[in-house]
Amino acid sequence: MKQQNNGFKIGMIVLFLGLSLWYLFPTLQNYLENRHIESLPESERNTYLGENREKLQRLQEGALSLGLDLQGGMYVTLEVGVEQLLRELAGEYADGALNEVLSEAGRVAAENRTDIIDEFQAAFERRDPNALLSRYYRSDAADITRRSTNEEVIVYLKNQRLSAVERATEIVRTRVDRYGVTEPSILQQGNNRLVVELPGVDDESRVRNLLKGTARLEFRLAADAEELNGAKQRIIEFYMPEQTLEDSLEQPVNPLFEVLDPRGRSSYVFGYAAAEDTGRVNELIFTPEVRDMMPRNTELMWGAEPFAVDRGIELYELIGVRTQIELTGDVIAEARVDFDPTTNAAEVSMTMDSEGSRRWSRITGANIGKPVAIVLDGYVYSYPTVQNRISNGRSSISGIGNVTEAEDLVNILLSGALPAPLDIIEERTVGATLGEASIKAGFYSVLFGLIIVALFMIVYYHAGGGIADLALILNIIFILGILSAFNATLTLPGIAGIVLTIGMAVDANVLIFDRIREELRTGKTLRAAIDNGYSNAMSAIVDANVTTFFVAVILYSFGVGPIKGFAVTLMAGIAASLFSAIIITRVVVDYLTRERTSSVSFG
Amino acid sequence: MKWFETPSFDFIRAQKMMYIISGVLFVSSIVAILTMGLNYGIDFRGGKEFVLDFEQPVDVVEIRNALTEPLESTPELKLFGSDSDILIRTDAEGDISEISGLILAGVGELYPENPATVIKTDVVGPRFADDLKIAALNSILFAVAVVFIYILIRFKGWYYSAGAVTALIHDIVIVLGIFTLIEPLVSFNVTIDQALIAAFLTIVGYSLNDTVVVFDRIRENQLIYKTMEFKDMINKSLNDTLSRTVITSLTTLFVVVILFLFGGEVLKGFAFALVLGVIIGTYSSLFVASAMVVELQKRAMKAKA
Repeated sequence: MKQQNNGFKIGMIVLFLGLSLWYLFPTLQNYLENRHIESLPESERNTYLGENREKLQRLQEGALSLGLDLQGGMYVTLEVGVEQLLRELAGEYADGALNEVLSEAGRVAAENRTDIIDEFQAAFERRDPNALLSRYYRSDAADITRRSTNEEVIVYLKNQRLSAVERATEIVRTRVDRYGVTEPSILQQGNNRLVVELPGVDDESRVRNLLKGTARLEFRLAADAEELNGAKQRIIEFYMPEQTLEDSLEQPVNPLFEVLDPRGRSSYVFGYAAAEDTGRVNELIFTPEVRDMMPRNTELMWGAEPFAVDRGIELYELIGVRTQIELTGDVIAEARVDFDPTTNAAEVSMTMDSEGSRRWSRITGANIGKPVAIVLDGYVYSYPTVQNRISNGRSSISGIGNVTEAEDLVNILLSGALPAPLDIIEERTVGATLGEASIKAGFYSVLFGLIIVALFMIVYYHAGGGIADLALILNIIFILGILSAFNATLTLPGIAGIVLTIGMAVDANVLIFDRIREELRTGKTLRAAIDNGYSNAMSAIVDANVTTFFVAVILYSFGVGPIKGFAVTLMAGIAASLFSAIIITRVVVDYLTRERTSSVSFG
Repeated sequence: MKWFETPSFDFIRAQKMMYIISGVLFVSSIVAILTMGLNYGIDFRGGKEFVLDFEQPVDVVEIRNALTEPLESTPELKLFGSDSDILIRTDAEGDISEISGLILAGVGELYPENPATVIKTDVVGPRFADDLKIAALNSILFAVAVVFIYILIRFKGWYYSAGAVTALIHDIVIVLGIFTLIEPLVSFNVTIDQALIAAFLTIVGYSLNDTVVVFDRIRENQLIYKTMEFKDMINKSLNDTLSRTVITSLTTLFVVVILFLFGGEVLKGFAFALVLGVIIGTYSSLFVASAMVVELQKRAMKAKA
């Protein structure tokens, strides 16, 4: 009977060991391949990579993947701006009252950690219990009409949010793919967040811009030169300080002139300022009083790039444009990076779809000789004068910093405009060098931990300790096998979990061996002591491990990123150490005492 | 080798003494936390953290002074493992790329010959930090509740649950207290962040491991020595399991100390919490958990009578 039992146990051990090695095999192969590739001379490397692409890809996928904290990369949580989305959805119906309700809802939702759309309804109804949300929101597709109830509108808005997050996820995925990241991961989280994991990226600021870039492209007519000039005089007058009669030599300076030069290259330019003064200019120009002095249909926008550099100081233009948007980026069907034939500067050429081309033809035809401003995310990139009617739907954006920026802009334009702005609410970036240092640190911790615990066990429990050490080594293979089988990611806290498991895994054996020693002291034979030792220690082992397992599960459901990795290895460690400490050591002890009838010392 | 082969320490009598030690540690931890405040890391407080790797050693004070003006607030600086790696924590608002640009420009001006690269960036928005804080608190409360219920089911006595949970709270509060007190003294990161919560939960699991083993022995001894006084039975159980408690604590202590020494800068605070946790957890399962069980059981019996 006992014999059969042990046969079953040995079968299980062989099976699990085989499975673990099977799952770990691609990791080993991948490691050896990478070593091989690194050892190749530069010239042969590329041909080798080309010839074996499929095989390498397969190995990469099967191998135990390393977390971003070990291989380097970016982890970013993005949040969809629901407040802005609700404002956008209202479109032309949006008014001051709606904005007030929205900002109140945003504040309350942040404070009470509730759903902003529910707070929006509450705030709206608090303001006027009889008002209908359908005043602001209409949709033929969702059957939201003038007579829809507030509840119906709220359901519609929640659906809109859902689809906005889904679209944002798709758009971010497209952008990331075009940028070229191996094995990116983009997941929705909650009802307005997405989590993006990008292994191996190192140009953080470029990636940040790529992720949250809205690329709101607009074509607008330039302001009327005369009206703009009139407004400029009024504003200068408004800021002109009182003349002091007593001291006519020292005239007080107009604060506007301290930071802004009111001359311009053309009559559509309000003035220009040095880069460092633009903030101060904004404070003076973008006020309600100044707004009232401007013509109704005109607003001011900064140029995207400096138009000139004077003694190392970059100068930016403040340009007058019409508030009305003639055409938006939705009509762009194709875009690519091009170079200006004369200056060789990077630019983006675009082709519009048929509807866009028709409208573009009409707009250019009606405005020959006038400038059209090309506005991206609230900055004027250029305002070329229309020479003749453009009927082929072509247009271009110039004034872009460099080729990479142009490439990213093409990427963003083609992947589509985000339905609502995305905000980075969390970012974790680890450089490749720090990742390598962490791998090394983790490896040494595992190695030293293993050596010291193994030595201690042999010194303290003699042969029994040696058997426990064997179980410990198999234990580590099992943990890595389990991680590979479940496609888990090994993180630095995960390695810490393995190190901790090394220390705690021997616990079960310590419990058993101490029990065997106790039984031996009562005068039992070695065989009887071993039997009793294993069976009496069992309840303590099970209880202690079940409670620890619970804690690991809680850790897993709460933790994010690397911490989850810690919880996973802890769970794998508990499962593996229970198996190896109870089953493996028992089989070895039984084999030695029964088959070989040798005596096993427990110290 | 054999330690504590047949020990007969009088734990219950020693516990009187330990009440004082634990009491003092617990109260001073609470006082430290209340007066100095919990030292939250950016996970729970929000903010931006950058680790800069320089080619040559740099001076923390010089960098702090050089960055205060461009960031418009004084950043917190710590060495990160070596004196050419600096962790900069700032509450400055604005675009991440912009802030990291300001920092790099600032140190570039200060040390034109000693270039720096950003090797680690952590940014947490204030609202997201609140989310993380609540999730962390919930996870600890939830873990404690699960422990209470599991022990109640397995050992069928609320005083076992209460004893175990008291020991857990004791451990966590003292580790928090030590973290708060030593923060100004040590050069590694001992702020309260997600990794520390993971360490806490591990301590919970570990300390529980010890406690459960003792309780298991009490349960067993109760069946054998039916007439023995409860207090003496606990003492016997503690002595019976003492060897195992010490050996396991030792092997675990070995590995967490190794993790602290060799695990790298990223894990320093986490490993340090584990070192403290193993020591305090072992102490509390020997002296706090069972003492509470004796005390509570006595009261429960009195209440019944």
